[in-house]
Amino acid sequence: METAYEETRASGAREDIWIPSACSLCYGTCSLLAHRLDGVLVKIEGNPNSAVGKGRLCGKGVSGLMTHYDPNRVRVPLRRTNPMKGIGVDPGWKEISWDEALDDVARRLRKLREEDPRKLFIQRTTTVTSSRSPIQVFAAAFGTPNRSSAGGGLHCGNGAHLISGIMHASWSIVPDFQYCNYALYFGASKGHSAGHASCSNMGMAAEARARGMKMVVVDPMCNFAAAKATEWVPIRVGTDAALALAMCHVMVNEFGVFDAPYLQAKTNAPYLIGLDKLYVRDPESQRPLVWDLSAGEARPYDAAKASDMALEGNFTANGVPCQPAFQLLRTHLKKFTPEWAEPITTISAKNIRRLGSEFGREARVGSTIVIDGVTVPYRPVAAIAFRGSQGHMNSVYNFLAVDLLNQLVGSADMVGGCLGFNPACHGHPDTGRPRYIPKAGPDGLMVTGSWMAHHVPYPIREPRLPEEIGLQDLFVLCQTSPFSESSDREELWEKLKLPYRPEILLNYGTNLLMSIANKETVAKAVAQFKFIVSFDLFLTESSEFADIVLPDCDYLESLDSRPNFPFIFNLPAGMGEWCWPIKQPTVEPDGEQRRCSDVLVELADRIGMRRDLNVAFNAVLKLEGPFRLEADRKYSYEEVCDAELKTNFGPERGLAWFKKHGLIKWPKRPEEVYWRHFVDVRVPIYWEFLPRLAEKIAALAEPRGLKIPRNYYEPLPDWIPCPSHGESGSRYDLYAFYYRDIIHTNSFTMENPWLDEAARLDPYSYVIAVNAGTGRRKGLRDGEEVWVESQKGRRVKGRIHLSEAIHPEGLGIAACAGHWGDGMPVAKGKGVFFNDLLELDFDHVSPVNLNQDLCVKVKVSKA
Amino acid sequence: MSGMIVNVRLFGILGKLANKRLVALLMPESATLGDVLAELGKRFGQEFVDRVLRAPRELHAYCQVFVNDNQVDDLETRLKANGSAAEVGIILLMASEGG
Repeated sequence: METAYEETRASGAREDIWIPSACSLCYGTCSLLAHRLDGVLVKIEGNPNSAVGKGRLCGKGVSGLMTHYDPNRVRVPLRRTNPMKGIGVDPGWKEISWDEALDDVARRLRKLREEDPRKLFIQRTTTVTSSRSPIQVFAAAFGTPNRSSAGGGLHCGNGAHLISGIMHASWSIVPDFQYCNYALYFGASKGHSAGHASCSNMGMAAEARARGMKMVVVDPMCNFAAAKATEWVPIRVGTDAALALAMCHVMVNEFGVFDAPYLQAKTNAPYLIGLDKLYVRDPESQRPLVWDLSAGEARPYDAAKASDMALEGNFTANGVPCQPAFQLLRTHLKKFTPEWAEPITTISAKNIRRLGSEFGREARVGSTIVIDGVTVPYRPVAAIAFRGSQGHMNSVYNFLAVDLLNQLVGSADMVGGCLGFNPACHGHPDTGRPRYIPKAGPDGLMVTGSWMAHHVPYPIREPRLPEEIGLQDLFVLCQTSPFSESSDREELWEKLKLPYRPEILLNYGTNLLMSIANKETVAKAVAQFKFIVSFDLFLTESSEFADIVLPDCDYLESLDSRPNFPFIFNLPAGMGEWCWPIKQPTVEPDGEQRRCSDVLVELADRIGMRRDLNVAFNAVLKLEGPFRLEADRKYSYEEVCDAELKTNFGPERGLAWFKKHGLIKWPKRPEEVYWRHFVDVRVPIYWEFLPRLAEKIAALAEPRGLKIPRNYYEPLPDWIPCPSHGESGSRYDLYAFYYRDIIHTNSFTMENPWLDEAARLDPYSYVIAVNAGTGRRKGLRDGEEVWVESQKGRRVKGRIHLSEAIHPEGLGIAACAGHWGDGMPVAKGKGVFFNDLLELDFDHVSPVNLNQDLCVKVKVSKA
Repeated sequence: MSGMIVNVRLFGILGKLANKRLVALLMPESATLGDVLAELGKRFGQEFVDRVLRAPRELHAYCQVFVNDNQVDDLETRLKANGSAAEVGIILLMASEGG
């Protein structure tokens, strides 16, 4: 299980070495082997010894060499000489020494920290450079709550990750490919594209399809997942909740299919709800009450047997009339008939009824299976969602409605069902670390055992007047916020009495001018920082606004002791192996580049916050015993990584051991993978805390002129139209959306010449896809140039591609293309910059989790 | 009253809020971690308490407290052990994520 890869050929002194490390060209971070000959990297392959990627790499992974050796990389620190900042304005870069750069940055940060540490805003990329912990640690030690991941949460995760956390104790959800027989995808591509456990999932999904798993993909476009599916269900953009709710209605109210024992034991379905929409609580313990059918009375949920809890009926408890949450849900679902959903989704009622019936039937409610000698419920159906369906203002309801399908048939984290990514881990057999298991929190609802950030999705934080520039402490269900760059941020800060304004931006690898929304709005916000320091591999459109650019090392030159931890992110779900790889330098930098992690440690020292940094490392990495950092000692980042590995895997398995072996593995157990059956926690099918939360937020926001729409805060999911659904005007008749191209990661990989060539050969990567029939009716010809224009007058230009593989009302644009800067010359002018169509203000984000709405009503005209 | 000195180190933003990074508190020998946090609240105000506690006697998930360099969640933890008072450290790990 533990194999050394280093070898030296006997033939002469020629170096010939394979080095195990981790890819970082998307956040799948698959394990790799880098082949180095005489100091030059010549090839990158997947590491067959690793469970992360399972020996495979995608096109991006094998092309990493071309990014690494790109002559356009930044190789020396730069200082701008032109004080004017703006899009296309030449900064007048001047090369400076590292000492000069660090002296200046440290002096400014030290002064700012003394004045008010909250004035520092840290942006971190979700990709390119996957080392999260040094940035987390630096932010905590400095004392700023203002940290963001430039588009990462806004475009994918504020709904998906929040709700996956609350319902599955994980960052994301995926079918249990080894046992699933019926997978239903809503705007998701798990196993067919990049991202979470991408290469591992691709292999597992392919094997599942070959085994006969039926795969139904609901999507406006027939691309990466739908093209390989058994069935593509074209849907009008942003209406996924309507379809999912109608399917739930069909299952529960037309066919009577639901898993009563699961709902009784694993959800809050039996909790009694009063007319005020809130739990009826035990007067003494304040615990929610259930109706105990055996005792014929109301009891706290933890004082009755699950099988005795009523799911339906009308009761009186504490003198008030009430119903179990499931009864309310069942009644609520009755309005979502297939006939109601048909004109919203454009999917026929007959088809919706068939899908609901198939999902319910294939769930095999009541069945069990034996895995490694352990008997577990067998529910071989999974409904999953991701960016496509949740990238809207109604992202919470969209995702909740989809997951409700799993909860109703009891397939959540059961064999063959919808899994979170590894929510429970009992640790390595030798050390018992890392160990985490979901646990019951307030009202018996689940608290994650592990999480990506330090404020967990549940229990919900108490809202307060904001001190975070993104207002996340008011909108407490939000992770990444648009209000650090939005067009109305100053108005919101003024209304909500934010006590300071951000002054310095520390940017770590993001190109936020391209990754959030229209460039003018973001540029205006970025230009207002008094000082910007940016760690970059290339001079991007955003580095143009920096005062100092620091040349970063790329992933092939970097070190990280936890490129794949926590396991809830990108270690594949399902039975198999736990696997903890490291990322290590495979080659030294060829210029003056330095690793960001090392620079942050150095900066902390120069700022005078070494003690804070070491304490934060101890806290974030959970260093223990002799491996805890001493407060006043200076450590290199290598030493920190060594301490983390020894803490988790014993003193004999430090960094030196991992550099040689690359990773450590051990087998998963059924009690870990199918943890939900074994752990006494419940999840909310009725979000009782939402209406309460709305009132608390409104009490703070509304007296200050910010209206909180209550229809987004109901305890049961609904379908709410996007702004684009309400826009009229016959010429604006298409719903524009973008999708993540499998060839590219965000805007970054456009500079890679191999990937650029692949994208130019691909019929979709750099074009605007429109339905062939729709295009013909508009008199458009395949390949001609068109303008795509929003009702706000924002427009982008590109070549049109007419295709049968897109909904007649859809307009699809791939990836985050359309670079205009000179610092990435391969990328410049390629593809279409979809985000330039997006508004960035309160009216275009979810008022619950601040997720951006990513569909725009547009018209198309010849250029 | 017999008492003990508990040294509290405040890291990150907490040091700024309190306007000092090391606080020495005279506490009863029976004092718990919760008592120390309550005393800090008296000195530095409700804003300080709100940063540290999610609810009365419950820490925020992102607030980490160390007693003699060991992480502690239980606010009932006694601070006097082996005849000497403890050193307490508090740090907030505020962070958002995406992806």
